[in-house]
Amino acid sequence: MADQRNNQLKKQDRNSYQKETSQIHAPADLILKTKQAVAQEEKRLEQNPRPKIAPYLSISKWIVPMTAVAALVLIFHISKVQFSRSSADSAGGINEEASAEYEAAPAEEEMPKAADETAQDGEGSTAGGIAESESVEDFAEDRLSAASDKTSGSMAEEENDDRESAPADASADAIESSEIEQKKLAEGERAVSGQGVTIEEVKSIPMFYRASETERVESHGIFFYIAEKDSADAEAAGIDGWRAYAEYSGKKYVIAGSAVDQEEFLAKAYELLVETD
Amino acid sequence: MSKEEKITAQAAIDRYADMVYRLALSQMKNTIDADDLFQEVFIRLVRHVQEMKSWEHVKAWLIRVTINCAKKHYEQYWTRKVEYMEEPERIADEKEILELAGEHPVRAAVQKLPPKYRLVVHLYYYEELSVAQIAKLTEQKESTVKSQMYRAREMLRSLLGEEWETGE
Repeated sequence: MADQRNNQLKKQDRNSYQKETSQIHAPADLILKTKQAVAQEEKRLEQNPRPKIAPYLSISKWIVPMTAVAALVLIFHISKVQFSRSSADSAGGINEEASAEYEAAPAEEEMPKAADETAQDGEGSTAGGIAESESVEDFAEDRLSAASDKTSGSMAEEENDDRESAPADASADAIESSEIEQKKLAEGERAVSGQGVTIEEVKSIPMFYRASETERVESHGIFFYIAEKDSADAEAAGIDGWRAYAEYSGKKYVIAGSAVDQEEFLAKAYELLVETD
Repeated sequence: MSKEEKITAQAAIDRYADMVYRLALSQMKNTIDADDLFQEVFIRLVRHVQEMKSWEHVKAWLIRVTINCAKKHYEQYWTRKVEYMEEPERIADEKEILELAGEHPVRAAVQKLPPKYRLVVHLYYYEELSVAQIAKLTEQKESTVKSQMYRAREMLRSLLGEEWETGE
């Protein structure tokens, strides 16, 4: 009932409104005045072909596209800034991480105390030049290939290690192989010999390398890890026995022999290294 | 007039003068503003008549421009109301409208509605446009138009309620 009444009201409203409104007409004088104004406007447009458009209308045509372009430029600029910032942050993070690893790496390195004390050549950790860097790198490769328990073992870290720090403990395999080579030396196998000093190319670093009595000495730009070698023959002869480990031209050598003193031994060792290469 | 008649501003005045005037009157509170609005709409048409494709296009254009010019008028009113005539004259215009209430009671009630409700009532009940067409012309959602229609009817019912309940 109420709905019907509502519908009825709507219909009545509509009919009444239509009837009342249809009785309203535009006044004749208004139509006349308007026609005259329109005629004048048409004449003006004929004289001036360009339609007179209000300034705000012409601008409004371009506001939306210009705003869109400005927004796109702004978004592009912001994303570019954020991207470069994030790249810088990540690079910084990587650098920080690398530096942290760099700082942590030497902590696990061990060095023979004697070798530390013989840094007295005074030329610092990089004095070995190419030979030194090759030695550290090669030693790192050997160590990593074995089952090492070292935790910070990255080759990059080891390249940056302090030159005065000695490599960590050799693995069991490295020890075994060096022992075999030591035996070979003891059995009298000689690669090259001369003037009571022999030189032999080895595949791994010998055990005496880590011995406490081993010294690191630089001679002719090459680092020799040298230790005195007890030998009955040498003692009987009244001369000192020496043995040394050195790397030259990417190869590992053990030099052993007798000499009056360390200096003589090193000189002979150097000659042999050069001859052998 | 034939449908083939060339579209000109003068011809448009002959065709749609009453339509534009009634719409202008429904939007304005007084006849003076309605007259000004009427003239402005057709002068604007002169500048755009070349773009008109059909008479239906002209009709839709005239309704839309009338609505927009009326909005602009109200915006300008609040910024320059000091330029308007004194209050007594305006009241006289309202009196004039109320005097017509005896002859046009529903129209008088519609004139009391807010402008946006008057507009949808006029377009819906007199011009017989659909809700979709009204939404497009007024640049509103259809739901908004329906809501305005509902509220307009409620207000009209309250204005005209006693009269209709008695069955007159």
